[in-house]
Amino acid sequence: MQYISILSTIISFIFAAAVLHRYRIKRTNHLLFWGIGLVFYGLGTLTEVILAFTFSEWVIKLWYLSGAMLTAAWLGQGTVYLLVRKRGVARSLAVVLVILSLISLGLMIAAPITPEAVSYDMSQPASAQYKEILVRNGATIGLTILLNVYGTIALVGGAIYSAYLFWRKKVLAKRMVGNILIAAGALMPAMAGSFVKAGLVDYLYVSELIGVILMYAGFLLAMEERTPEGDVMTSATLE
Amino acid sequence: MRKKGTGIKPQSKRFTPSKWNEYLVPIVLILLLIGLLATLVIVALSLYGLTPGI
Repeated sequence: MQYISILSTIISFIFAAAVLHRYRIKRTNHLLFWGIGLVFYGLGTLTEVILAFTFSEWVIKLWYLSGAMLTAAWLGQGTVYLLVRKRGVARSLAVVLVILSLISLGLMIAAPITPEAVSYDMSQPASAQYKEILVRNGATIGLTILLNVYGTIALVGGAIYSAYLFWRKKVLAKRMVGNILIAAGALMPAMAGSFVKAGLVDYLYVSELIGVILMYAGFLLAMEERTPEGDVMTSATLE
Repeated sequence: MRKKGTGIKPQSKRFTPSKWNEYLVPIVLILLLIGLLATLVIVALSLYGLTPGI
């Protein structure tokens, strides 16, 4: 099980480094938020690796904070920066996201750990055990759902919308395929995460690996086909 | 600079889809959209307590 998370972690951080490197060159907000979102993605899978070898209350809190609460929202905010052109909207949403992220951090720091933690089974995934160990109050659960719904709609919906625009106008085929891969990749852990939260089947770790591979492939494909104006991976800026 | 009436920048690379892709791409996009909606439905059902637990 840990090999899957190790691979996911390596790919996530390479992907994050590639996006943040582009941010250093381009200085566009969408790349910054995507880069940070991918760092959270990598932290989520890294903590899964650590939890496969040893249990720590702070590691499981970091796992929940980065993987369950922040990743989708920060990646989605990158797409919002890219697609929402109305002045001030993306920035306002970003401010709200930063505030909610800080509240999430506070909630996680304050979240109690149950005595069940002593019987944490390292051979089982954290996603199968966290509910018995980490006490999440209504605010934490509500915030988790809000951040995930926002991030998933923005990231997956944005990539589908961009791919549709490229398809409709029959331009930039590689970017169209790249966006399809990004949408599919982002959807995998989003669906798996929803299944876990809903107490249904748990295929979170595998979905994280497939998800990050698909998104990275989509990013690389989209980057191959640059317009003179920009570099973006989910550019729907045809008009 | 934009091509008049198209809203597409002249540098944009046009492509002609193969017959296979003519059907495949819309199907994939619809499937992705269904996947997105399914994810949101699962979250909604879990909020109403209609799944094993959240």
